[in-house]
Amino acid sequence: MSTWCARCQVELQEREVEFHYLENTFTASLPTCPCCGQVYVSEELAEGRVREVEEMLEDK
Amino acid sequence: MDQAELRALEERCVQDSPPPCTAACPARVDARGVLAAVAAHRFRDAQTLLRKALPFPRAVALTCDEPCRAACVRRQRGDALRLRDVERACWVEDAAPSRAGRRPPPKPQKVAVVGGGLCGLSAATELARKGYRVTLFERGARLGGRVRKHVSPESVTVAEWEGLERELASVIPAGVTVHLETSVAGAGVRDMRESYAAVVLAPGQSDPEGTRAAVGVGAAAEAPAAVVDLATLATPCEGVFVGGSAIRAAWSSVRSVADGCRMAISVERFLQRASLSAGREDLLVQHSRLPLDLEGIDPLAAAAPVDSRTGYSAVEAAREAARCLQCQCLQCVKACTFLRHYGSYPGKYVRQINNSLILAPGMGYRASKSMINSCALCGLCAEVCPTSIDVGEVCLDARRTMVAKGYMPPAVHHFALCDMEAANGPAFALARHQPGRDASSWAFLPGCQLPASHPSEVRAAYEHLADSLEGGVGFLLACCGAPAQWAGREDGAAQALAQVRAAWEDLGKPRLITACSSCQRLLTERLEDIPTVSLWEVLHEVGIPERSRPPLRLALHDPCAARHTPAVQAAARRLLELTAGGHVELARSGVTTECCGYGGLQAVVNPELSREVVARRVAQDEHDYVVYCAMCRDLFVRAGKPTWHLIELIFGAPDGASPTRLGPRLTERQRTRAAFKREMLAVLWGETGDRRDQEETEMRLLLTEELRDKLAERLISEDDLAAVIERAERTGERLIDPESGHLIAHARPRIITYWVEYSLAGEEGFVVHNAYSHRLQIREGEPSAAEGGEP
Repeated sequence: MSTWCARCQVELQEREVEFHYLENTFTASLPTCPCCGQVYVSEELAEGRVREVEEMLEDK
Repeated sequence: MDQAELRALEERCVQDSPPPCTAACPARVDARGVLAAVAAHRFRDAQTLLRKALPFPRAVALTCDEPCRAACVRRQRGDALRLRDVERACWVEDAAPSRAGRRPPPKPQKVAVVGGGLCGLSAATELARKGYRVTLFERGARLGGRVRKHVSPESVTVAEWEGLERELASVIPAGVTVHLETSVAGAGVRDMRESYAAVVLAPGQSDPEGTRAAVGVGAAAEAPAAVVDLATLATPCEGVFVGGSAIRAAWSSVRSVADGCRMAISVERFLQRASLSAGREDLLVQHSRLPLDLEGIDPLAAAAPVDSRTGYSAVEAAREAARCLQCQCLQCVKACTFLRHYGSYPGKYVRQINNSLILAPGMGYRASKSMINSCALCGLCAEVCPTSIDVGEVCLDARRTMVAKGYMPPAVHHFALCDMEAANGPAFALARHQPGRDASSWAFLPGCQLPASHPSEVRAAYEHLADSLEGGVGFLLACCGAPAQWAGREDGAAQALAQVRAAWEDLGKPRLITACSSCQRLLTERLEDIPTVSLWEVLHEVGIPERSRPPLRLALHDPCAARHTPAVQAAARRLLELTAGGHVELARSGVTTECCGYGGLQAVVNPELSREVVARRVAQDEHDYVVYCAMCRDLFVRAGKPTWHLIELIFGAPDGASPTRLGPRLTERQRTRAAFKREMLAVLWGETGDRRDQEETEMRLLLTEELRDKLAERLISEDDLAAVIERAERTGERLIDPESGHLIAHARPRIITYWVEYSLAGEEGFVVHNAYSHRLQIREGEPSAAEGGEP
């Protein structure tokens, strides 16, 4: 079972989400509430791929 | 630092300068590289290195007079390396293809070379390789000159003899026109200048009169060497160059080859109308700039070849080559975990920084930023460097440039800057005269970390100072601004220092007693008119409370910020004498002490590296440690090393202090500071403030100790957790994991997004199961998300 939005009581769905960091903008597909737009970044994602991207952009 | 300053600094690094053997070699053979290759049985690589410096490597390998031997550092621990014998063994195996491969387009100019010895042959070969039309004149019937007097078919193996003959004849396939048995006397040389664009003289010692005449020296008493420029081998006659035995006191095959090559370069420059001497200043330098480091090197004698006619076998040569000490500097790299971690040495680091920050910002050299931000700025490198290069100064300067130009990612130092801001806010900052006084001759500034780690000892120290010193001892709580300074944020540091100055002025400009070496260093450097003295010096002066404590055997670690304050170091040692009955000195202490891994915000920026730094330091002595910096103690204890803070030995409750008690985590650190201030105000000044309000507004969070540790490593404070939960509960913006029933929420109070997984625990508050963060900012769809701090 995947994560739900506690406010809208619906299951999150994969949606394109926009990210910003250090004057860079890019998109990624993330679980998002189809009603209110709340996004979910898992610990695995934050500590893994997101960290890599941050380090790459910081060193640029 | 500007580009020129950085380049000068880069050149000051001696790591790239040749080792003594190469400096002593006229041909600058990379002997260290050759020996390393041979020791690893990479004979082809050795051949390549030899060919790079010597167009006639076999001839030199059989005849070299080895100027390198006198310079060899190994001589001081055994015998000098037998480089010639090793070189000879390099040519026993098949030769690698020579470098003749790529030839530049032919050039129209004709060059004459007089003399077919090694010097003339070298000049001719090099010039032919450069594309010039070279004609060589030799008086005798054969090429090779003096080589043939030193080597005979009987003195070497058949293969070596054949190889030598082939090598000496190689000028012909190289494109040189050879005229044997053709004598060119002095006047003839002058005539040659008419038909050749340049003339190289390498007649050996056979024709001294002719040489004199050719280079324009009349009197027989005057040696040609006196008028020749030894760096370029140019003579007073334009376009005429002379080298080899004709101008040298004795024959040396390597000298002759080197002179030949040097003349070829000079001829090329002359014909291109370029400066003959530019960039060749080092050619006459024969000593190495590398420091001599014989520490831990056992003597090892050389073994001569078993058979002198055949020379070393490959195995013998490799064994001899393995005796090479591979002389390098790397003094700082050996001493510093950070410098070693990035795999290079200061000369290269400075070049990278120069390139990435000044020459081409944003274009590659990606390792630089994380490297620049990971240095502890501790200054040890400058102490061990033969030319006193301080990499920390370069890194700090680069951080300031990054901040000024907007290249510094704000999140890198965010945590430390927030912590500093909190320490200088109403929760901690304080300035008071001694209770019952309205003036202060002194004021105690314990810093921001010590009251968080050792509040009761700081209070005891203050009370002791107030009892012992005349004229009133004020009390000053503040952060000096060191974290901002380390982060390259000069405005933040200046603001903190201004706050300290204002408080100091409010107290009537007392003498400041600092407990923290970083505070003392920064105040001394930046607020020169504020008189400061270290707590340890004052305590040594006024005496310490009587304590009966069994003697301890402790190894003393000086904080890096106290590196250049010998008086503070001495005071700490005398206090240790009084409290612990003496101490053990670490190998690196005093001016060469190491950083604990906190300096320069290393622990915040690069926790992994910081842990490595700590692990190395705590392994240096088996005794428990004693320090006089709060961060040193807390980092060492967290790494499992029992460590005392000197203030515990002096003021700790006899049964309360322990060298294994962990220091506070970041949330506790801020809360302990606030509690310390409230307690000091209440107990000493009778001021009770808003304590109850504070406790009531604090959200009750339930966390396991393991999670607390994990969050401390992730630099997430409980205030951050509370901010996320508060927002989620207020806005209802939460996710739910249907399996565990845990709520998941996030918020971005400032520049970092925190995620918290939690459950409601009714009256008890909230149970926090996990938390993590990221620096990327999510652009979420709904406008409602912006309420109460950006999500």
